[in-house]
Amino acid sequence: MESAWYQSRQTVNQQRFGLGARTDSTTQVAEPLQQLKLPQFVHSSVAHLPSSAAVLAVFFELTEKRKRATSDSEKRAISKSINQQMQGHFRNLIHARNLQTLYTPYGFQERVVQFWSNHFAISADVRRVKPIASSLENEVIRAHWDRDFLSMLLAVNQHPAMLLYLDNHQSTGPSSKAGKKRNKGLNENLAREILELHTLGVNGGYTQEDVLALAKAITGWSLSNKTFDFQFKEQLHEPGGVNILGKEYTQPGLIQGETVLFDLANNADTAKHIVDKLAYHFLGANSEEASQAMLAAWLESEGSLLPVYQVLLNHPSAYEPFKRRFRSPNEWFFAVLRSAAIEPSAKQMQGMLRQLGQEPFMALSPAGWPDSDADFNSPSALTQRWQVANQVAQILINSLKKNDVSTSEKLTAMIEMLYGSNLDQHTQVAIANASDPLSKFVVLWMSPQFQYR
Amino acid sequence: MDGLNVVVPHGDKDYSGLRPNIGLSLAEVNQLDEFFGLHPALQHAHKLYTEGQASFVHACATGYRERSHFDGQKVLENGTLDPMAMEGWLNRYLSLSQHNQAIAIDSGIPLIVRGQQGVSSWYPHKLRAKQKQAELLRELFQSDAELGENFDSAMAVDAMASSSSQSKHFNNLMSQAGKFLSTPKGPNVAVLELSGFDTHSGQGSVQGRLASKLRQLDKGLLALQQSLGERWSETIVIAASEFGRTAKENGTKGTDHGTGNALLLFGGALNQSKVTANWPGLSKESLYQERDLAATMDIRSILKGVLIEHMGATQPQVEAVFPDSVDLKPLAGVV
Repeated sequence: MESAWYQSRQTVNQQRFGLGARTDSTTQVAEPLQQLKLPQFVHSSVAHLPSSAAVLAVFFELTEKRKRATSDSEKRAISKSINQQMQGHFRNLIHARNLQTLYTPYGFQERVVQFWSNHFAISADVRRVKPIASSLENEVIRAHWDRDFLSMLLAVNQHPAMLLYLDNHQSTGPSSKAGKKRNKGLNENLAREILELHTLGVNGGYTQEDVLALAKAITGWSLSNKTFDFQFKEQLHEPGGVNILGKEYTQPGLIQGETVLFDLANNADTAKHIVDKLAYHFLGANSEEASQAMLAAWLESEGSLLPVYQVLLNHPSAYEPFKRRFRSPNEWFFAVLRSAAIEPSAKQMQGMLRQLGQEPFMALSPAGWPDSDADFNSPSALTQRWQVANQVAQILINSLKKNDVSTSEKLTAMIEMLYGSNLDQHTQVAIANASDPLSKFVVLWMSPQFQYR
Repeated sequence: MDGLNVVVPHGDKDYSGLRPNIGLSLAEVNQLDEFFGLHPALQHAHKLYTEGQASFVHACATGYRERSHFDGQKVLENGTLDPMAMEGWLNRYLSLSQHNQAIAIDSGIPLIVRGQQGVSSWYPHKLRAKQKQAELLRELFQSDAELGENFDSAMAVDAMASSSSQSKHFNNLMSQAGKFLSTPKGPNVAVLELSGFDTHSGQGSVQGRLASKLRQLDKGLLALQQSLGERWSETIVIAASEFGRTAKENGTKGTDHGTGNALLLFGGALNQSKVTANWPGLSKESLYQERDLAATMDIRSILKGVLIEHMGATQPQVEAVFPDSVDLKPLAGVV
């Protein structure tokens, strides 16, 4: 018989639909359904990040300067400066993301934002997007997560980070003005991922010809060398009509690709692909029923997203007290920090997330992080988690000492906030048997009740 | 992986024309035979070749003919034609055979070893003496079957890796794999992943993005060989990738997702070095869909050959490991 670990609505809100309870929150936290109507929480460190356009302008200038440099030593100095600044931007944007996850009072908002950010993943292993790796999340997803899928899809694929990440910025139609003049050609990377990952899904019935045709339709989707915002470059655009999924698109210029994306966003396969993924993310296996209800809401509202989230949260299975998923490394790590209400240094947080195998914006794939329990519930992952639990427990104990708070008082407050009187009895026994305070915290965070959701 | 720039068919008259910027010339490769040469970054691999301990099979592919990485990778690992099948081919072999144990050097469990048979995994960490905590957790995890099994497995593996290094570099991971494989009663099969071969732009030639990945692979191979010690003579290493890349370089001096590819085999248990290929040619009409190296050999045939000749598998066993593939005869003499 499975244990009913998540009995109170509050615990499910925080654990299944949020990022974990904060022990220092004094006010009643808004329910996920209420959060849909509240303005988005944006941490000041995220709000203060420079725009992608501003960052790209700096690197463009440096690269131009390096081209003009006359001596090798000057070139080397500029390269060094580029590397340092790139690292600096990356550190800052990771830290801002981590603070956002650590402090948001609206866990469901953030979980949904991070779901979309992973759906339209950008990975910083590709150097040209490293200094702007979070810009798509902050500039596009945060503005569109509660609107409709079409506007999000268009904005994502006209954002410099996505265009650079999947090589579309220089993709050149063979019969375009630039294509005829120079030895440049088509790059089908973005077109393929739009069909396979962003919209229809790999079983969406498209062919290699459709990929090529879409690649042609979006030639010219690039960025300006002056403002570093999206710019349609006519001289790169492949002239003429294309046929995608049996339909002719004869529109000129930019509208051609936009019309295709409009149709893809409204395709029923796209809706199915995405609601299945969203339902699985929150509810795991056996979420078909919820997913069918979400699909109906999507089709009814023509891709508006709020009704879909509402159906998910109102579904009878949403608040079942049994475990449905294993927390991902990112979810687990921030649940630990939020339960302790501590803020490790930027370097510590980045290091521990890396160790857990989920450093933000480093999924190494446009498919983003895998999202099945088997990907993160393994012997070696458990050892990594155990090690990080010890590291955080040590940081917590040091901070309690400094502030003259007793460890047992803190532990009691944490358990009360997380589970009230429903702490699993196996965990109670193990905490009682742990001889030192550090191990008591470790046991709580490693307990099955805490690791699942 | 771009197999055409790893095991380079310099004897093919169309090769250099397809790759004006990224192609490797005869003078740049290490010669394997009169037709093929090896990328110069694979220095140790070439030494192994001269010692009868490296073989290459070219123009091979899985049964997958689309161009998605993710599905291609799944099909390579699950050994079927269905990207949705969630059981790995190696796990099927483990559950059919006896005395075989596998370990994944990974923070998760890769698909190739997922399935009924329990498989351990290990990744570098620095938990010092936490004996008391380990006992508490072992007790606590009895309330959850999966965490319980994972924890027991992690502790058993850790006992073998006591002197382990914390570095997560590929050559350290390979070196640790060698340690596990040479532990008495330890695992005898290990799986690792090396990513970063998706060279859509700026792929480079003798130097560059592909070359530096190959150097990493090469160093890892040497580290594995050194750490295996005497067991190297009983070992075969298979390096396989989900698909090859376009024969012609693209507009951004890289290559896009393709089909036919090279598969690399190393190890002291190989009887001889050779390049096996039923070469389809690189002329426009012989390319698959006028774009990729055609596949003339299914990777499952090679894997069946290795399972039979190296692991002692029977014909019915390999048919069960790779369902619906009776037409794919095991490649004979691969070992």
